[in-house]
Amino acid sequence: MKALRHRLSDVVIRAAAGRLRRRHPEWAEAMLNEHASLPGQANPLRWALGSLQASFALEDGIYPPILALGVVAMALYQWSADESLITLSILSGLSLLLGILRPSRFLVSGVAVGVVVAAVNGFETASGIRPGYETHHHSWAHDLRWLVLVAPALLSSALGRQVGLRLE
Amino acid sequence: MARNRAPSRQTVDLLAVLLARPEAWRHGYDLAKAAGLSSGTLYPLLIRLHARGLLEARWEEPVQPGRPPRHAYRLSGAGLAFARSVEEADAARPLGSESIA
Repeated sequence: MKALRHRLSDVVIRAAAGRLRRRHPEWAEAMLNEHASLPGQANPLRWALGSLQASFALEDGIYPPILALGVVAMALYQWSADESLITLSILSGLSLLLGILRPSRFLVSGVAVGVVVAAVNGFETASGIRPGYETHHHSWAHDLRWLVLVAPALLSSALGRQVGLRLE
Repeated sequence: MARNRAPSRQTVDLLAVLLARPEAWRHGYDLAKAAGLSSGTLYPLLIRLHARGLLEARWEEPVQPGRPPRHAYRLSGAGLAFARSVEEADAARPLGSESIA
């Protein structure tokens, strides 16, 4: 059990250091070496998990929860209203904001937001559950067509990236 | 734009630990244990203090053979002044008015 915990902690601390290495290479080494130097009474797995948490706090900060919240809000809006210019505006605004917030993740932001409409429509088709305004069953071709929204989402997040890079 | 806000409770605790022995170079685990912080809180604090020039960091050769060099930390001159001002402000703060950040 102890050996397994040590092995697991090695994997976790390497993941934490790997995440930190790009922006804080010296601190990534410090983290790894501190883990390797922990005294016997320390819990290496707890230390490694904390270090992984630190790498998220330092590297991603508020970005992952904002991205998750944005995608959920986008999905809820798409569920509550049919495809429209408002959908496109929300999608573009959200992608722009995410691009500004984390310029290095503009591709993730654009794709994540851009696929929401197609994903919600796909869910309707797959599950047979449809929102009240929907009067007929869609085809998969219709649903996949909405992947085209990845393009404006990516365009907006790329624009946001340019703004974000200027602000950094 | 630079922000001026009161340091968090965890920052105050870490600064107090560093201020207790300002000349000593201390390791991460030692600091975390003394300040009652997890590594998840400690490293972001150390990195931010270092980035603001309040903390010095250096590599130390291992005492035990086969171990890697360790990062050690102590307050810089500016960090000492900052830690003292934070300590004074913390002492002057009325009980029950602690920040939860």
